[in-house]
Amino acid sequence: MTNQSLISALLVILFIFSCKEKPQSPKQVENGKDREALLIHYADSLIIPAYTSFQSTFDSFQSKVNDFANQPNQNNLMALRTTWANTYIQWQRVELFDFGPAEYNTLRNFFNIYPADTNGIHANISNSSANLDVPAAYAQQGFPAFDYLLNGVANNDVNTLNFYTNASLGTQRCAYLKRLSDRMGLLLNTVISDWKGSYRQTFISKTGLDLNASTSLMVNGIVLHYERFIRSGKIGIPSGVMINGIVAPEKVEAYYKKDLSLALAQSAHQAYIDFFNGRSFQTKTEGPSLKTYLDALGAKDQASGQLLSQIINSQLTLTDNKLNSLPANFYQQIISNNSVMNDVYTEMQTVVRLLKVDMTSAMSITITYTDNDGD
Amino acid sequence: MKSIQRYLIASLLITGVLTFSACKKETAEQPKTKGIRTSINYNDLTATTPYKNLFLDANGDTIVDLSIGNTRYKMFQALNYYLGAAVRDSKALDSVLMKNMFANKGNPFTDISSLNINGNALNTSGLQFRSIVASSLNSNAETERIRIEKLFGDMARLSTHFADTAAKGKAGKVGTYLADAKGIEIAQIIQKSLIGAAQLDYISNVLLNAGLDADNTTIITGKKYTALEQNWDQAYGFLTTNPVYLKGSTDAVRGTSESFLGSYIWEYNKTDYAKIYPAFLKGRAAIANNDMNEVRAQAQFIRTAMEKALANAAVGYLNKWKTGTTDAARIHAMGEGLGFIYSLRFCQVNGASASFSDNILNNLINSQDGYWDLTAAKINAASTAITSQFNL
Repeated sequence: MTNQSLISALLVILFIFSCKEKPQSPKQVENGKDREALLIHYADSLIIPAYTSFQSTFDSFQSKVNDFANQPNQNNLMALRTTWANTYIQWQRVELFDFGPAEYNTLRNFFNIYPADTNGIHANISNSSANLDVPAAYAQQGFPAFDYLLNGVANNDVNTLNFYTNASLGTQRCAYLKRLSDRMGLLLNTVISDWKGSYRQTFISKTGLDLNASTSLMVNGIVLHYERFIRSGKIGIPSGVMINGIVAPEKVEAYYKKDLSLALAQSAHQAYIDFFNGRSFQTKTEGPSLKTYLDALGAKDQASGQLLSQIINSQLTLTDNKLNSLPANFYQQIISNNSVMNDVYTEMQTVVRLLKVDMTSAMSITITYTDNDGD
Repeated sequence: MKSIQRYLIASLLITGVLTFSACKKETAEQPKTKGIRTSINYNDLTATTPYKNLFLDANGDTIVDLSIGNTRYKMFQALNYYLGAAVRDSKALDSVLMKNMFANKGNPFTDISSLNINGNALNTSGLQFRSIVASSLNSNAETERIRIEKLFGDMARLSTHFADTAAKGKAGKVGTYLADAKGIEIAQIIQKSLIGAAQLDYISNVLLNAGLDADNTTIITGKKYTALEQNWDQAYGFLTTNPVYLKGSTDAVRGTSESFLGSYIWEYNKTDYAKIYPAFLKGRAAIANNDMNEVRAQAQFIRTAMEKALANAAVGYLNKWKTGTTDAARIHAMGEGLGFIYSLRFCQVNGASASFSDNILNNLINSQDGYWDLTAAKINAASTAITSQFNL
C-alpha cells in the first residue's frame, strides 16, 4: 500500500467517523430507577410466591368442598367453613395483582364480587349449564357465593345440612358448590401457569413507561385495587359514604359470616403495605419497590421536603391502625356506630389521593381506568 | 514527500467540507423557495406559534382560512349536542332533524351558547357534513352515510325509552346512559363512528393524502390561498377550533378545550400528542416553501399518530368493560369501544379495512343479547386483534 492510498484510507475512515452520531454513553441506570430490577423483584419475590402459596391453600379448600359435596354432614360442613374463611383471607394477598394474567382473565370478577346475587345462585343451581362467564354472573360465584351457600341458606346448622341433603334439590345444590370451586380452580391455574410460564419474561422485559409497559399496568392495577376494592368495596359502599350517606350494611364483605369482614380487610391492607414496600412474600425483607423507585426519582412534598414514599407509608400506617381498631363484624358496626367506619374511609381516601395523583405523577404514569372525557 | 503533504492538506480540506455538509442534519435546513410565497424558515416555528400568524400574503394579510373545517367541526358538535338531549332533557329525538343536520337541509341548526355555536351561520354556510363522510371510499361512501342515517332512526326509537330502565332484552336508561335492548348505547356509536368516518377519514385519508396533490401555484379566484394551502387548513380546522392545538397540555391535564378526535389524541396517544401541532405548523410552512417532501413527511406523521390514538382508544375502552363495576360503566365503555372499532376501518396507514372492523364487531356483539352476552374471552380476542394490527 502506498503512502497516498494509506492516507486516503485513513481520511475516509476519519470522514466516516466524523459523521457518526455522538457515541451513546453506556446505558446506566441509577440503582433505584432500574425498573427491570423492580419488576423482577415483584415477580419473583412477591407475586409468584404469593400465588404459589395461595394455590396450595386453594387446593385444600377445593378438597374440602368435594368432601362436603360428597358427604354433606356436620363435620364436613365445619371443616369447609373453616377452610373457606382461611382461603378467603389468603385470597386478599393475591387479589391486588390485577394486572397481566389476572387482569386478562378478570380473575377478581369470578372470585370476589359482592354482595352475592342469591336469586341468581338459586337459578343457577337449577340450571347446570348457566353461563357463569358474563358480568351478570359475577356475583353468583366466588367466595361471596360460598359465603351465602355455607352461612346464609338457613338459620342453623341442621337446616343448612337439610338444604344439601334435600331429597329433590340436594344433589343439584352440592353439584353447584363443586361447579364453583372447580371453576375457580381452573381460572386460578390459568393465571398461575401464565406467571410461571411466558408472562414472567414479558412482565420483566416491558420496562418502558408507555400505556402497555409493565410498570404502568402494575401501577394502574394496584391503584385501582386500593380505590375501588379496598376503600370503596370494603368500607365506602357499605358505610354509605359513597352513596350520599345511605348506609348499606348488607353490602359488607362476608355479609353472611358477618364476623369475618375485618379479617378480610386487614389481610388486604397488609398485603398492600407489603407490596408498596416490596416486602418479599417469604422472608418479609424489602427489595426494589414502588417505595425505592419513588425515592430514586426524588419524589418529595414541595413544602415540607419530606419524601413522598414516607408520606404514603405514614398514611398507610395511620389507616391500618384505624382499620385494626374496628370490630370483626362490620355489618353490626355500621348499624350501631357508622362514624368509625367513615373515619377509616376518610383515611383511605387520603391514601387514594397520594397513590393516584402524587405517586403516578412522580412516576409519569397515566391512570387509564377512569373515564376522563366526561361524556 | 512534498506531494504527499500537499495531498494531505487538500484531502483534509475536502474532508472538512464533506464532513460539514454530510453532518448538516444538525444545522437549520433552509429550503429553496419554489413556491409563490416568501419562504419561511422552519426555525421560526415554535410549539406556541398560533397557526395563522406566519402565513401571510404580500400585503401582510393572513392567507389561512379555517372556516370550512371549523364549520363542519361545529356541525358535528351541534349534532352531538342534540344526541345528548335524549338523556339531558329526557325527550324523544326526531330522526328527520338529525338527518337534516347531517345534510344541512331545512335550516336545522339553532344557537347553542355553551358551545359558542351560531345556528344561522351553520345553516347559511353552504357546507354539508354528510358529503365528507367516508369520502375516501368514493363510490362506497354512500353505504357508510346511509348506515349513519339508519343509526339516527335507531337513536330516535331508543330515545322514547328515557323513562324506562335498561336490562337484558329491554331498552332504557342505565345510569345516565340510554341503551337499546342489546345494551348498545347508540349515541356513542354515532359519535365514535363519526370520529372515524368523518374526522379521521377526511383529514387523514383525503386532505392529508390525495389532497396533497392539489395545486400550489395558483391563488384560487376570490380567495387568498392555493388549493393545497386550503386543504391543509381544512384539515387543521376540522381537528380543532383552537389557534394552538393542545397548547399548555401535560400528560395529566389537557390544556385546551377539544372535542372528538382532538380530545382522544391527547388521551390515547401520550407519545405523540404534543408533536401534532408542530407537525401541522411545519407542514403548513413547507407548503409555503413548496417543499413537498417535508409536507408529506409531516402529513404521514399526523396520520400515523391519529390512527394510533384511535386504536389505543378502542383497546382502552375494551379494558374499561373489564374494570367497570356496574352495567352503566360497562355499557358506556362498550358504546365508546364499539364505535371506535367501527372507526378503525378508516385507519388506512395501518392497513385496517371494513372487514377488519366488522369481524371484530361481529364476534363481540352479534349474539342474541349483544352486550349482555359479552365475556372476557370475547373482549380479549378483540383487543388482541387490534393490538396486533396496529403494533401497539
